[in-house]
Amino acid sequence: MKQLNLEASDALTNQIDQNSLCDDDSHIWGEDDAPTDEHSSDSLILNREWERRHSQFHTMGYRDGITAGKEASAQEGFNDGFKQSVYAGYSWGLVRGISSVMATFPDHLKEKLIKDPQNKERLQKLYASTQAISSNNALQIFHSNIQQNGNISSSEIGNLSKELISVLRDSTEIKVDVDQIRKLII
Amino acid sequence: MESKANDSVDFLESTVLLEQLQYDEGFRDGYKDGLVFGKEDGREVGFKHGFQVGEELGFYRGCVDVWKSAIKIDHSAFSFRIQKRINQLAELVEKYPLTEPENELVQEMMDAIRQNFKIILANLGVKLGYEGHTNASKHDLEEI
Repeated sequence: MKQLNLEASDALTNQIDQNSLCDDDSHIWGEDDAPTDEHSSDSLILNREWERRHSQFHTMGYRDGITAGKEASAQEGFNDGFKQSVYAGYSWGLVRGISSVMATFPDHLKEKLIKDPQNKERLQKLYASTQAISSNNALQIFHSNIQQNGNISSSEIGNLSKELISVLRDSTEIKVDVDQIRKLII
Repeated sequence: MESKANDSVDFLESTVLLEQLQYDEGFRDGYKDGLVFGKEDGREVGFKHGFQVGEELGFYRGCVDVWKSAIKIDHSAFSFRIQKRINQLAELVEKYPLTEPENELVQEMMDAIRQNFKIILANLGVKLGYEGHTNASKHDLEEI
């Protein structure tokens, strides 16, 4: 009785094994068959896929190309831009520096450097106006003027530079690079 | 079975080849445009940076020149120690390579100038509204 039962269960497992094997087989065949049986419709799909991929790979290349191109030319552009503005900034910095330090001097020292009391007052006003222009302001003024007409002589920066040159004209004791400032207003 | 495998290898090869061609074509187009954009972007950043560096250095130069003018007319205007500092600053400003933004020493030199300038101001006991760009220049360089 016990033996019989065992045989029966063996037969059952065998059957299950065969069934699952059969299932596996048909699965494999099903996959293998598809491309050969419907070859033409597959290449149509492939063609469509192809076109889609064409633009996809082109786009990928384009993206990488832009990055590489940017990297290759950024430094050159940076140097060009730097040289375009550095001396204008320098001249404007002179105006700032000269008027700033003059404003810190005690009266007796100021009077030794600037004889004309009117000029002394003008310089004080000039200092206040210069202080009112932030560094970013100055950059913006310079940038927009360069883009419009190529010089800043009519801007606030230009006017303050002219004013400083005018004040310094009579003060031979102050030895500064006026010619460099003058470049701002030519 | 074998010929089928070869076919698919050929197919794969030609696919990869074509994809590579398309990628390369895209890369070439992108590179050309990238050169233009990169130069323009770089110029914009360089323009800003150049103006700021120029302004800062010009500022120090203007300060130094006025201090020196004052010393010339009145030797007792500043202590000997401060005068020495002013001369040091003048030398540093003079040496700064204004037109060489790629020079490796510019940051180091600018730091030395700023340091010297701060010490002079502290010794004079004065405060100037504008005191240069202590952070801006470095920050801008990191932008590119």
